[in-house]
Amino acid sequence: MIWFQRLFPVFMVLWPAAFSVFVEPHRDADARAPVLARRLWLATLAALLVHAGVQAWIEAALPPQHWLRSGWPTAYAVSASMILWFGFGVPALVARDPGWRAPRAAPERSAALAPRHLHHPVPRAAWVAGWIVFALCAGASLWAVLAGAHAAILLGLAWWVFMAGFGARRTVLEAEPLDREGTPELARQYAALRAFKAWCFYALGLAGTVCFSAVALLTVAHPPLAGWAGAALGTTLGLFGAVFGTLASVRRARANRLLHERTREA
Amino acid sequence: MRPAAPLSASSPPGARPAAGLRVCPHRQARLPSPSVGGGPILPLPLDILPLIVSLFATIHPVLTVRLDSHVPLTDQIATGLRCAIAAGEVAPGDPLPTVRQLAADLGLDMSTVARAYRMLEAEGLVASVRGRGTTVRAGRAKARASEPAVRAELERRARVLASEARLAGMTRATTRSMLLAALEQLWQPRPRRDSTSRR
Repeated sequence: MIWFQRLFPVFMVLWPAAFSVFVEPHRDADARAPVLARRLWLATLAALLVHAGVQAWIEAALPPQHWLRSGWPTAYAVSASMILWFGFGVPALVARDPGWRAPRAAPERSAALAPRHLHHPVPRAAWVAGWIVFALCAGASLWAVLAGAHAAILLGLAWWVFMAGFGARRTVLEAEPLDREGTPELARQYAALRAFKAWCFYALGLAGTVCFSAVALLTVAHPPLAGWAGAALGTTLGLFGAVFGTLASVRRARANRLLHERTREA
Repeated sequence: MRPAAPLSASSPPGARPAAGLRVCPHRQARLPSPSVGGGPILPLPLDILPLIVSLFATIHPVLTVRLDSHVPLTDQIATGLRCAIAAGEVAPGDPLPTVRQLAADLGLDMSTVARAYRMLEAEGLVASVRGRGTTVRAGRAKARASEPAVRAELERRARVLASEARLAGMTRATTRSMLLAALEQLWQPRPRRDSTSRR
């Protein structure tokens, strides 16, 4: 399991910079694109050095049983990758390809008169099924806590479900600016993005609920396995979240680029 | 002959003339568009999701505002919605997007959209119920046509429109045919859009 703890933050830190390599420069690329790309790589290098330093100190100062249970790798991986992605990655990508940002500077703005809040991509039956799974998992986790598992796991479960549910519900209210003609292809791109994000949030919420409960039950049934399972499942969820977030960004960028093209044509 | 300028409330003075007659900006929403794009940003293997969602997609009218217009944004939104209601693009009972959604899509402040919705609510065109959203109301607009103040305002707007057409260099015949075409477009029978969007 030690390799999980060591590799997960490295993967997450490297993800934004590695991803940027695959984005082809657009013909409207900003002149500052190379500078911003260099900044992204320098920030990535700094983040890797910080992580290596702190991790080395933790491993030297704490016995393995302690640092394996420390939340450092996960906390660092999540926060560092967020900072790198939004602080350095997105500006670098936007400079390389303006399609990564919606043309908000345009004087003309259009929107569909579609009541998206009434047509969620995840049907009601799936929500009902999800809540049933959550109720069962919450019951199992509660039993585990009463049998000796740490109570924080219940808090984690509630937080996870709230965030996933909130994210899934919010996808229908995200900005979907159209062009004046209301290009059907653009509307299709938005609908696909909406469905993709809603279902990914739903799946993430459901998988997280099951994982939290499984770890809670393992804490009672087989304590030595609980730490390993927690790390493996947490890493898997984190990677899934990273891939999902990136693919959603790619879809958003596609729609933005189409909007750029349409706005320019108009 | 000079081309006809857009007649929407959002048209700024000196704006680029639109091709053809355009009564409301959102009326162009039904035009089919060819596929465009500058190539894939990143390849998404087996990306059939847009095709799947297009099977269930509904075409909705589009509301357009201009930030550089002399007309306040609230009035532009209200006018656009009035046009959509008058043209039957959104029928009585149809739900409208939430204030938050429309504000996000247009990149405007929520209070701007909320003011437009309140204006239409005061006119009896829409009804807002807390927690259920805003829907288009039926019947009330017809009753208002007999109110002297409403009639006077409409007559004033007709005079303004005629004056602007003349100042823009349009002939009497062109202006008349343009108005008649707009009326024909507004009163022509329309098929119902989609049964799923009704309550």
